[in-house]
Amino acid sequence: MRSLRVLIVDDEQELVGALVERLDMRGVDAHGAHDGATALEMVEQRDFDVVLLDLKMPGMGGLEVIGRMHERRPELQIILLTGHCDAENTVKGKAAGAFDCLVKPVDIDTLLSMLNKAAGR
Amino acid sequence: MLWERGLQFLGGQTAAQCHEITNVLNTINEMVGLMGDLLWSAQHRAMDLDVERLAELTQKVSAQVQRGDQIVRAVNLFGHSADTPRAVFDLRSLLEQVAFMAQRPANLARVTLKTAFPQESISLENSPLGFQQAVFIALQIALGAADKERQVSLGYALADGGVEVHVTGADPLRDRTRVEQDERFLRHLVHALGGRVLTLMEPDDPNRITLAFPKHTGEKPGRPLTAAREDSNGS
Repeated sequence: MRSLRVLIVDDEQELVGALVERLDMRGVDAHGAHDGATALEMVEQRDFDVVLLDLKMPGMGGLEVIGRMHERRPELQIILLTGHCDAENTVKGKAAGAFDCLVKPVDIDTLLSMLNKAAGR
Repeated sequence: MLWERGLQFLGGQTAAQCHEITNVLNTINEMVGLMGDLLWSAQHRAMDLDVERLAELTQKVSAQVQRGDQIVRAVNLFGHSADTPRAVFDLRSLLEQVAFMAQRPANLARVTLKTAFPQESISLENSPLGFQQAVFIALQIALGAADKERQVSLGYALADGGVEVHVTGADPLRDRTRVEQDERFLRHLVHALGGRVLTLMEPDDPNRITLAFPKHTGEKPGRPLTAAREDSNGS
């Protein structure tokens, strides 16, 4: 089976760098972006199975990015990453088209499990 | 209304800074996790231990801890600014505090927030919390929509009997309805603090907001506001 292809989008650059490296070590083809606009460009250029997306970012926020990504790639699964997955954020995220919501800080095994689930593996 | 909006400001800013602390902890969590992964690979997969990479990661974790510490100190100082309704405070220190707390909203609005302070500072006697709230609202008005990258600057100038606080780089294209709502409250708050809104994105100067405050409000002076004051529980 080919590697899971994941895009991680968060304006915390050190976080993205570490997470990409950790997922790479686990056989995931992981890439990072630090804002919504860059993430949209990358989604246009490559096929990803899942996007892990921060809710609050400079410029375009996570909810807007979900909508724009699904315009280009309706089949793309998007998991929201947020500081608090309260009912409001989860409902808004899913209404915008997110697969699910994860709370920071995230356990790597829980994250992998969610990524595989979102990709239908 | 002033009291309720003041509480909203106190609670909202505390929550926002806690969110920033979560971001720091999240980053530390991933970097320490990565260090663990590198060690595990060296132990169980006979891979060479990347000592340089580990050293680099320890420095990055240390930098994040310092960042987190800065935020915690700022939250502590901010929380204590509500200790008394009136106190003597150093203007420059207080404005630096406001600018620090406004960095994240500025980043989200894709605005570079700079401070332009003269060498000379001044002690004011007023409500530290109310003063911060007034300047913060002025900054929020100036931040505007996140449709293009801009720069906003916070500064002050000593004036007869008091000080003028300037916010420049305001977005003249910002939705006027929202500006008017914030403006009404800002004028009300600044008046309650004994000051005046001198300019607020006027047609002849659309990028500028100027608030004028007296050196003291004429009421009985309060206790000096000290930085990083410990509370009675020693926390």
